[in-house]
Amino acid sequence: MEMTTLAAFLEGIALSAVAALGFALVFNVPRCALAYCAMGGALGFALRFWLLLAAVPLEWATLLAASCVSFVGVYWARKLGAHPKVFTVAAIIPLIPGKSAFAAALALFQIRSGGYSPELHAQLVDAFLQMSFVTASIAFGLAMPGLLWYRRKPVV
Amino acid sequence: MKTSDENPCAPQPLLQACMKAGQMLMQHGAESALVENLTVRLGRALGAEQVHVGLTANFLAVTLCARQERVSDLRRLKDRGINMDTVSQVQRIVLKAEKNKGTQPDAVLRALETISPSRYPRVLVAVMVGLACGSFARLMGADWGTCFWTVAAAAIAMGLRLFVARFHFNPLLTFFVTAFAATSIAVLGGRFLPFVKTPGIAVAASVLLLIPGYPLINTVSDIVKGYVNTGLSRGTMAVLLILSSAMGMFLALTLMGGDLWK
Repeated sequence: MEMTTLAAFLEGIALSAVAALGFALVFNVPRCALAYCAMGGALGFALRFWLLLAAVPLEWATLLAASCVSFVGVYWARKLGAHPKVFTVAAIIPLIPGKSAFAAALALFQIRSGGYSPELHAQLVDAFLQMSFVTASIAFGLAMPGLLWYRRKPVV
Repeated sequence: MKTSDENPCAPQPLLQACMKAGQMLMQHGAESALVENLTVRLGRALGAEQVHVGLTANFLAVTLCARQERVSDLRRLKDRGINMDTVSQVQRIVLKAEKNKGTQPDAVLRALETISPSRYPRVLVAVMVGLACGSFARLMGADWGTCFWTVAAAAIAMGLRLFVARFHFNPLLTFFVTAFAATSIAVLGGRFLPFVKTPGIAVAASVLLLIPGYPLINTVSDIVKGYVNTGLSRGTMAVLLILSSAMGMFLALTLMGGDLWK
C-alpha cells in the first residue's frame, strides 16, 4: 500500500471514531458504551476502506461493513448486558452517504431555481440512487444478526 | 416455603410495571421487537402466565393473565427523544427481575420510576457534534480550513437546536431552523473567510447533524421484523424530518448561496 493511501486510511479511522462518538452523545448512549461506539465507527470505516481498495462496489462494501459492525456489536452487547442497537447505530453513522445526499439535494435545488437541464437531472438521479442504496445497505447490514442468527431468541 | 400458588403477584401492579417498562422503551427510541420482547419477559419474570403486547406509534396496549385473572390497559406514547441510556437502564431492570425470582412488581415499578432520562451537558454535545461534522467534512475530502469552519457551523447549529428544543416546538420546525442556521453559517464562511475553500462540503457536512439515525434504522428493523405499522410511522416521521431540513437548507441557499456552484 502506498504511503498516501496508508495516511488516508489512518486519518479516516481516527475521524470516523470522532464522528461516531459525537453522534453517540446526541443519542445519549450510556457512558460505559461510548468507547464501543468509537471502536465500532473505526471498524466499519476501516473495513469499507479495504473493500473499496479491493474494488468491491460501494453498496456491497457498505453492507459488509455494517453487518460486521453489527455482529461485533452482538458480542459487545453480551458483555455489557445491553441491546446491540444501543451502540451500533452511532457506530455506523460515519458510513452514511452524506456527500451523495447533498449532491442530490443540490441538483434538485438547482433544477428548481435555474430550470431543467439533462446534466442536472442525471446528477440528481445518480446521487439519489447511490444515497438510497447505500442507506438501505447500512440498515440491512445492521439488521443482519437478527435476520440470520437471532431469529427466535433475543440477543441479550 | 411458599409456592407460587400461595403467593402469586396481583395482576394489577404486574400490569402497571409491564406497561411502564414498555412505555419508557417505546418513548425513548427502542425498536418494536425489543419493546415487545422486554415487556413480555418482564411480565413472565414477575409471574404472569400470558402476556400480549400491542404496539402502535401512539399507544401501547398490554393484556396479561395472572392468578386466572385477565387484565389489560392502554398507555399513550409521546416522543421523549432518543435516549439509549434510559433504554439500557430499563433492560437492566428486566434482566435483574429475570434473575431474581420472586421480585415484586411494586419494586420494579419504583425502580422504573426512579430512572430519570439523563442527558449529556449541552455544551459538550454541541462541541462534540461540531467535531463529528468536521470529521465528515474531512472524510468528504475538504481541506483543513473548511473542516475548521464546519466544526464552528455545526457546533453553533447544534447549540441552537438544543436551545430551541427546550421550548418544545414541533421537531419539524426545530430541524428547519437548525438546517437554515448551519447552511447560512457555512455559506457565509465561504464568502467572507479566505481559508474556507470548499463551502459546498462545509454545507453538506454541517447539515449532517440532522440525520434522524434512529428513526431510519428502526424503520427498517421494524418492517423487516413484521412491525409494519410502527415502522411506517417512524419512517414517515424520518422522511418529514429530512424534507424539513432540506427546506431549511434550500431557504438559506436561496437567500445567500448563489455562488456555491458557480
